[in-house]
Parts: sequence; structure tokens; C-alpha cells
Amino acid sequence: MHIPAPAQYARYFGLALVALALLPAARPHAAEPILIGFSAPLTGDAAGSGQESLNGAKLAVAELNARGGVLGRPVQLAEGDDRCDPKDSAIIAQKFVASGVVAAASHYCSGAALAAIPIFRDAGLLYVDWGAVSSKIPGTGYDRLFITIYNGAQPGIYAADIAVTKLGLKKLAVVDDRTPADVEFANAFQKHAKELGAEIVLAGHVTQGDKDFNAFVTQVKGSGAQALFTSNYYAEAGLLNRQLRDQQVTTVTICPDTCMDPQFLAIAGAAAEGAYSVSQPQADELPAAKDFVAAYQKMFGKAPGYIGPYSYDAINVIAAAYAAVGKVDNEAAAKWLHGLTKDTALKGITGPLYWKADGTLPQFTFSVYQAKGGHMQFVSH
Amino acid sequence: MEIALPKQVRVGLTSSWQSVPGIIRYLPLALAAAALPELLHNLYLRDICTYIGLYIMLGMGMNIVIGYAGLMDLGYIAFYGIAAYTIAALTAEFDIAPFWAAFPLAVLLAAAFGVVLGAPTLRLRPDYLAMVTIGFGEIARLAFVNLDAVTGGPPGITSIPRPDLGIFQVHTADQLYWVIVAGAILITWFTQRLGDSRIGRGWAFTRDDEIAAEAIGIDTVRMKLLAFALGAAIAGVAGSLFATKMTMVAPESFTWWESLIVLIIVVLGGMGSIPGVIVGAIVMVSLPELLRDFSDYRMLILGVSLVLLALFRPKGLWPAPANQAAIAAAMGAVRRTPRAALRTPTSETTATGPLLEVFGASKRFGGVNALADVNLQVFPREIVSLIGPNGAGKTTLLNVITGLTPPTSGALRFHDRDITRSRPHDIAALGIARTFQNIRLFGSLTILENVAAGLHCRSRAGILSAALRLPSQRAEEAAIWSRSLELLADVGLQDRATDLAHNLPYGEQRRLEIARALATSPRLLVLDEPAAGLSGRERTDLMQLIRRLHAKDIAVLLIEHDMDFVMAISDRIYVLNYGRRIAAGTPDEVQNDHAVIEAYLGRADDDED
Amino acid sequence: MNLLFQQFVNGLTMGAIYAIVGLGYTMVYGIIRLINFAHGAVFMVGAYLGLTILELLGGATPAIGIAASLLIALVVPAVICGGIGAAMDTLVYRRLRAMRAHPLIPLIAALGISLMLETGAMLIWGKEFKVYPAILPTWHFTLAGAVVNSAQLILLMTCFVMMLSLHLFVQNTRLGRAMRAASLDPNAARLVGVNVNSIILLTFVIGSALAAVAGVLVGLYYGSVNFRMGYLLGLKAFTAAVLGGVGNIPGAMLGGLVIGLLETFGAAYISGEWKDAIAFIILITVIVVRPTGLLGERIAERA
Repeated sequence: MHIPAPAQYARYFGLALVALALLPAARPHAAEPILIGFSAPLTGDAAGSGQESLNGAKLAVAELNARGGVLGRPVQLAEGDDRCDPKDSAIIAQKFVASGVVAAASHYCSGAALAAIPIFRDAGLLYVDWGAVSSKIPGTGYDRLFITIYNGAQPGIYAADIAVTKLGLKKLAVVDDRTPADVEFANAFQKHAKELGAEIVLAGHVTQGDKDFNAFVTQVKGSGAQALFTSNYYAEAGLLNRQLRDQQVTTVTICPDTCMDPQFLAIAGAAAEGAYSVSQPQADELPAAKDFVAAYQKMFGKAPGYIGPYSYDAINVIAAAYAAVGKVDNEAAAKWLHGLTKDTALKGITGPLYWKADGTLPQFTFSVYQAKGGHMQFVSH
Repeated sequence: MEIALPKQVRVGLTSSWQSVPGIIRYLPLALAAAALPELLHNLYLRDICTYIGLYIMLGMGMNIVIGYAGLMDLGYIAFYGIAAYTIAALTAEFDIAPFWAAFPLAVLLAAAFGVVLGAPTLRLRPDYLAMVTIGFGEIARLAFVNLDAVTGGPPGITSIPRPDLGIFQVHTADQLYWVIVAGAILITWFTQRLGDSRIGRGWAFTRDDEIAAEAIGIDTVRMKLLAFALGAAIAGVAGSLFATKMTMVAPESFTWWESLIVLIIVVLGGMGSIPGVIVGAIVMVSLPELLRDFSDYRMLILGVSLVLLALFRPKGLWPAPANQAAIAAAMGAVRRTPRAALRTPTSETTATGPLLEVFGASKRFGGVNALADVNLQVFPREIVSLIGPNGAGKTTLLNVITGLTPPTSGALRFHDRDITRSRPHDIAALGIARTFQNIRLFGSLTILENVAAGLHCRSRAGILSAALRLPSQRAEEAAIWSRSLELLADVGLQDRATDLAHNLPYGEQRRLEIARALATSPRLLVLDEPAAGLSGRERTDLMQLIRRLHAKDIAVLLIEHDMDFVMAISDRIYVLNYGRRIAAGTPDEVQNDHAVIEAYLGRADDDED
Repeated sequence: MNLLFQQFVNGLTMGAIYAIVGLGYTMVYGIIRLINFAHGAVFMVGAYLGLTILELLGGATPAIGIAASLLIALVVPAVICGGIGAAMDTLVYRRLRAMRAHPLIPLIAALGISLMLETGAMLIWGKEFKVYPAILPTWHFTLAGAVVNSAQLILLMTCFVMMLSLHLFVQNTRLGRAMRAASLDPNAARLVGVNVNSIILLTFVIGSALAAVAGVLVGLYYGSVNFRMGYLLGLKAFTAAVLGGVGNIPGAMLGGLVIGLLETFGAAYISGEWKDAIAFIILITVIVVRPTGLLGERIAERA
């Protein structure tokens, strides 16, 4: 409860200075590597997807460097574990800026993305978002932001189309886990399905990180729903499917591309059979994606998850922009990326990439897949 | 005022540090904080310093709750979140108020939630309080996620403007950094001063022994509520600044883990220690940053560090000194002549009627009648003893009189006031002080502070005067210490003023407890077996002390098993058996009373327990 | 009506898990008043160990037969986690007791241990979810309109047997009596010749072993495990222990079942997004109105 003597002061300022001096200081960037910041949850609840996306980014970087880098300079990732915590994300963003990162291919969580954007904006970074899908992100109006994944309502609208128009289902249930992306998908699904004339018989909420969704499953059973739209993380979606079948509920599951993840199929097991996933085109449809799967398998010894292709594309977008403008100049690169059209679009492994003024993809290419015999098989566009 | 000071205290007088005004002592802190980012010119470091500043604030607030008042709060971050969301909602989501208007509201709201949570739960045991606060923290987080209309729901609220402070507008992160540094210094200064004041001591007494604190006139519930509210308010200050620093709020920022980080800062730094909190905040913010390059091993290393620190620095990195405050304050007391008078209990005795009256007091515990229909009176200046076999209900009667256990039926009057349902601290303030059968001192505090505890209800300095060290507060502090030293001298303990109470030998602990009770300037002193375990010499001293009280217009009610002692000292004696009054009268009358003799000798089995 | 009963079965299953994990919290808390935050992590390690053992034994079609393989997968993690529990106590908590550290210090150490276990598991088994081999028979039956499957039945039965054995052990054996004595008043127990430190060690071992078994059961029933699975579940199990009355073994069982049912019915009939809040509000209410928990606590007031 008391203030120490001046001599003692010296001790803790010393301590503070030592601690801070040990932090990696800014390095001036010479003509050496092009540093790309990669911030994602590498520990904590979403670590699985974070690691997956890091793998995708690493693969892209390895391929770029094998081809001689960008503008003759090697590309290097600066990794940061944001744990989906906005504060950590902001610190990492600031660290990127301080350590000479020129562009960021970052973020799985919307909160983390929104916390980093003001810092990226201040530093003028080129920012490609491959995983955070909240519509608040393009809403920030940052003109150097480009998103390689669907955004906001898109998957919900498309899934509602599939459920009502293609599959002819009229009684639908929806569930979300109260995470930003999930809520937007679920709301869009409900809105669009109602517009198409279907009835939403149940809209439920579960908690991310829970293992038991039986209470909700029993509600689904009682609701008489023909289909359930679940945009949960694949772990929860997998468990949910399993528990549906355990309780002998036969509703059709429809999910966004989260269910394309091999982990969904593994967790749900036989219960995944028949589940629909609306997703970016997969290897069956795109030759480039086929190469990606093969290379990923070779580098990491397993099949890629659903998120890896987006981060892979994100790195390539940055590289392509710098290469096209002939220098590491974010203003020019952003201008060039904004100038792309449907005809001049970059060919990503998730489909053609060109952007609206707000940085979102004008029309995300969705295909429909269905789980059959333990694999996701192409059904239609 | 001539008081012989103990040696240690005199040695301390040579230090000139104490004469440096508090605010100047923070100058090095301010300079260092200012120099660091300028020196290093690195935005990353500036941001880390900013977060250290925020966590220092949080740590200081938590330190009040857990370090000063000893309350387990594991949901502390909820208050931080409430304030952050208030700022976000008012300045961004609804855009109806500038920062300078929203800020006090946010802080008040956080404090109000502290009171709302605290009021029904602060009587709970520490571990239950921990559970309740975990629950509250989670409920708050779920509210942030699910109250979409106010909180923006899962994605939270974005585009929060930089603070508009009225006088000047904060535009850049650099300026905000300055605001946060200033805030951290101000809060550090505030908590330090508060800790080193009457309020801070009140918390320490409450933390150390709630029952004893209550019995000598400290409103422990109020003290705890105050700690909770202040802690929450400080979290509110930090939360408001956090929202503008981030320019966004989202539920992920207010998880249980964040509460735990603040807890770790306080415990790791050293509970109750101001520099400890600062060191703790520096470590807990910069350690994870230093470990960033170890990526996946980061949390493993952090975990190992926590375990090692617990094992090898269990008192914290910078523990709080135990008795420095008392020494310093005692010095202040002799340097300045006391100018403020301490308050005395209500009115002077005028009537010749009884001071204390107990009418038909009964107390049932479950099916047992611990007290049945007991009547008792104590007149001014009288020495009354309460005797009876073990289990006769004597201590229960004292507990009823001092308010620790309210009677099941019956009434109590003291000084012509009804005190039947009064709380112990009110009764103490009215002029009944007590000691305990099993001695309840504030063991981890100094002897001087123990006595000063008795003066708590006779002094009045509040938060504001403590923080600003107003002249009235300084005079009152000086009066408290000089009076405490006087009281210590009365019981012959002045040489040990700065020792910790639990280091005293048994007999001196008894004397100290009496001195503490006398410090409250009682009209009636209630002693529970004061002679138990005393040597012959000590017993004689005690007897003389009690007789001297007579001269000071203090009545005494005591329980004692030593019959020689009782017979020698008492004006009157009450005898209890099985919760009933079986006799009353002068020592002679009681000694010859039939029922008394039977109770003590008649049935051998009574004597055995 | 059948939905109501189905919800009851759902709640019961979850409650049984909370109860078993809650036992570990309550037993330790009862004696040394430590909220052992590392307990949830031990549960998680148990789940992973069960998985590894099942895989070593041949996955879904073990060579030694399903029953034997299941038994090994339950016992070995229990033993290993019992060892982890013992190590926690002897290497950390006992030392802290010996130096009479402030009660919050062991809490910090517990947080450190749980970080170590969680990150350790992440480094060993990876960040991805791991899927348990589908070893259990996949039949089900319908009871009063509620579907009950084999995994659920095995889980409920195992939990019930464990709770009953623990109860009988604590009530009827010499060690059990010593445990109760230590929990009532460690100092008095020491005076009458109980080696309190060994009793504390024993509670850590038993609690951790139970948590490990619960981990394996969760793996078998839900089918997947990951390194974060102990965090949320541990918190809720601790809530259950408090609700039942800390230090009270039947209380933890009851508390577990009550929390399980509350959560299920709260999610089903009130609101899914507020279900945890409902559970906590009821917990706070119980604590404020009846601070000794549902069944009362079995620890001495050490004022």
C-alpha cells in the first residue's frame, strides 16, 4: 500500500525497459523479402481453422518462392496468433506495421478483422481478407481491402435458394451459434427462404464450444422441419448432424462451405450422409483447384480443409497485384485490383476474383455438394 | 503531546522521502512512460505501453477489490465491458453523446452494476463470491452477444470515435496514449492514497477479520460495497478508454480469460502492492508479446511461468510491505500536532438509570434454547460479571448484546435507545466495545494499526478527502495515530507498535485487544474471559486496568471463570445456567445462593465439559 | 409429451458428465478449498488418452474384442490421469500448502497447470478435432417416445456405477472415513491420526481418474475430442459442484444432474442463446438464497 523509495523505482523502470527492449524492434526493409502479415487464431477454440488457413498461405508462399518470388524478391509470412481476440489482433496489426509488413493476408474472425482495419488503414497496408465474412468489414470503407471469400448474406441466400427452389423443401429450420458470420448467414437464409414461400418452423441458437446439442435436436424433431440450415463451425455442425441421426431425426442438413471440411465428415461420420454444402468450386470442377489439393497433400500429408483455398488465394492476389504494377506500391496495387473486371479477373482456385468498390466479390461462385459414401460430391451449380 | 516513540519509528524519521509530496513521486513514472515511445519510435511498442496502461488501471481497480478488501472477484472484466459498451453505444451505435458526456455515465453504470452485484452477495463467503462473480461475468458476456439492439450483437459496434474531452479533441493514437498514461497515473495515485488512508485500513480490517472489524464499529458491508463499486468504477474508466483505443467493441474482448489475466496481474504482482500491480501489468502484457515468436509454445511457456512464479514468488513479484504505512503515519503524528478532534459516542450520560438493559432475551439455535428469557442491567461505571458453567449461554448473551447474533425474542436498550436489531458496528458506535474469548486481532497488521481500528468509527474522512489529503484529513490521521500511541502506552505496548499483531505473546494479545476496544471510547466494555491464560502478574495488571476504567466513566461487563478474580472485581454478578438466569446480586449474595451452589457443585456432570 | 421425456433423457446424459467431472472439483475443494481449474484439462487429457489407446488396440475393430478394449481404454487413462493428479498435488499444491501461501496462489498455479496441459495436448495431438473410433454397438431403443442409444446407456450406467462406488467407498471404508474427516476439519483429522496429506493426494488421484473416465465416455458418446473441450465443460462442472454444495459428494451428483437438466430445458423451452445465462442466474439465486447449496456443504466453517 505504499510507495517505494526512489532507488526501488529505478528497479522497476529498469525492468520495464529491459522487457520492452527485448521486444523485436522495427527493421528497415531493404530490398529483401516482401513481408506479408498473416494473423489468425493459431491457439484457442478456432485453432483448427487457423492452422488450416496458415497451411494454405504457406503453400502459396512456397510456390511463389519456388518460381523466383515476386519482382525478384522472396515472399515471407509474418505470422501472428490473434486467438480471435480483437485486442490481440490490434497488437499484431501494429507489430506488422512496425516490422515492415507491406500487405496483410489475414483474419478468420470478424472481430479480429475489424480491430485491425483502422491500423492497416493508418499504415496504408494492402489487406486481403480470406476468412472473416461479416458485412461490417466492407462497411468500413477501406479502399485497400479485398476479400477472397463470400461475405455477409451470400451463403445464406444461396442456401435458401437451393433448399426451396432446387430441393423443393417448404418447412425449414435454422440454427446459428451467435458468432458474427453465423448470425448473418442464418438471418439471410430465413429472410430469403420466406421470400421464396417457405416456412421457417424453427430458429434456434447453440453455443460454440459445446458438445451437446440434443436439446436443439429434440426441438427439430418436434418442429417437423424437412431441412436444417446450419452455418456453425464444422465441429458443431458435425456433432449436430450426429445427434440428429442418433435421435432418429431425418431432416436434410444444408450448410455453407464449412461442411466441405474433411473434419465435418469425420466428426459426423455416417450421419453426414446426404448433407448438402454450398461451396466454392472444388477440385472436381477447377483444374487449378486440383493442383492445389495435390500440392497441399504433398506438403502437409493430409487433405486441405475448407478454409485453406481462400488464404492460398489471398497470398496469390497480393503477389499478382505487386507483379502487375511492377513494384511494391500499395496505392498502385489497390488501384490495379479495383480495375479488374469479370473478363480480366484473377483465376483463383475458389473461382474468378475481381471486386466491387467495397472490396467484396461481386458474385461469389457457389456450387452444391452432397455427402455420399463419406465424400462430398458435386451436385450442381 | 509527549509520547515516547518506539525506536524503529525514530529511525524512520531520518528518511526525507516521506516529505516529498505524493504527486512528485510519480514524476519518474510519467517521464519514463513519456520517454519510452519517443525513444524507440515504434508504434508497436507504443501500443504495448498503451495496453500496459490499461491493464495497470484494471489491476489497480482489482487491487482495491481483492488486495485491499480481500474479495474474490473472478468476473471483474464484466465492468470493463459494461463501460466499453456504454461508450460504444452512446458515441457510435446511437451517436447521441460525445465522449465527455458518455464517459461519466459509463463509469457510473459500471459502478452501479458493482453495487447491484455486490449488495446481495457480499455477505457470502469468499469462494461463493468467486462463483457468483464468474456467473455474473458470463451473464454479462452473453448479454453483450445477445442484446443485439443495444450491443450490436455478435459483431459488436465499430467506428467508435476518438475521445472528445470537451477541452480538447483526441485525434491520434499518440494523443490517446497520453490520455491513457495520464489515466493510469491518476488511478495509481488515487488507489495508493486510498490504500494509505482510513478507508484503506477499513478494508484491511474487514479483510483480516470481518467479525472483529464489525464488532469494533466498522460497517463491513459498506466497506465491501465501496470496494466493489470503486473497483467497478475504475474498470469503467479503463473500459471507456479501451473502447476508444480499439475504435470497436466485440464480445470476444470480455471473456473469462480476461478476468483471469487481471487477477494474475494483481496476485503475481503482490496483492495490495501498488508497484506490484505495475510490475504485474508489465509482465502480463509484455511476456505474451515476447513469446510471440514461439507461436504454438507460447501458452505452454506462460503456463510454466505461472506455476514457477506461484512456487518461487508466492508473495508476488513486488509484495506489499506489511507495516510501512503504520510507521509513516505514526511519524506524521508526531511531526504535526493533532488539530482535529475525534468524535465521541453520542450523548453524555445524564440519567442515573441503567446504561444497558436486557429484557427477556431468548436465543434459539435450531431446537436448542441457548438463552431463555434473560434480564440484565448494567449501570454507568459498574463492573458486572457474568458467570455460569460451560454452555450456560454466557457468550451467546454477549453476542446478543453486541449485535453479532440478534435475539430470537426480547429487547435490548442502551442509553435509552433500542438496539435489539442494530448491527454490531452501530452498537459499537453507540458505545459498546468488546473483546473475544478466542482473541480476534488483525494478525497480519501492525499493533498500532490494530488500535487505530478502534478509532475508525470515531473518524470520518471519506474517499475524496483521502485522495486529496485535505488538511482536515491530515489532521484526523495525525489524531488517530497519536491517540493510538497513547492507548498503546496505557497497556504498555508502545515499544512494539510496529510489530505484527500475530507475533505478540498471548498475554499481550489480550491487552492489545482491550486497547483496541478502548480506542472506540466505549461507555460499556464487554470482555469475554479476559483473564483466561494470563499469568498471575498479568492478571493483577488486568484487574488494575479494569478498575481504572471505573474512573474513566466506563462500565464493564465481563465473563470469567476465575472466581477469585470475579469476586474481587465485580460490583454485581449474574449467574446463568442452561441459558437461564438463576441468580443475580453482589458477590456475597451470589456466593451464598442456593441455586448457584447447586449449579456449580450439585451435579458433578455439569462440571465435566 | 414424448419430446419432454426426450429432453429429460438429453439433460440426464449431460448432467451425468457434469456430475462425474464435478466430483473431482468438489472432493478437492472440500478438503483444501482450492478451485482446481486444471481439473477440466485433466478431463480433456483423459479423453485424448482413451482415443490413443483405442487406436493402438485396432480402432473400431480391436483384435482383443470390444469389451476388453473398452475396459483398457477406460482404465489406462484413469491410471495415467490419476498420476497427473498426484503429480499436480505433490509437485505444486502440497508445496504451496507447506509454505502457507495465500489461497489465491494455488489458484494461479492451477491456471498455469491448465494452460500447460491444454497447450501440451495441442502440441501432442494437434489442433484439429480427433475422431473416436466407432467402437460401440449402434443400436437404440425407444422409451416413452424418447430415443435412447447404446452409447448414452453405457455412459449413464458407467457414471451411475462410478458415483455409487465412490459413495460407498467414502461412506464405508476406513480411507473414506478419513477423507470425510479431513474434509470436515483437517486439523482435527490430523490430531486423531489421519495423514491429511495422503488423503489430499488420494482425492486428487480419485478425482483425476474419474475425470479421465468421463473424458473417455464423452469421446465415445460424442465421437470427437479436441484440446479445448475441458474449458467450458470444466466451468460448468464446477458450477454443478457449487450448486450441489461444495465438498458434498452426493451434492455434486445432484448438482450435475440439475445443471444438465436446466441447460437442456432452458435451451429447449426458454432460449438457446441464453441457456448458460439461465443456468448461472439460477446458480446465483441458489447461492444467495441458500448459500450451502442444494444438499448443504460438508466443510467446516473455519472462521
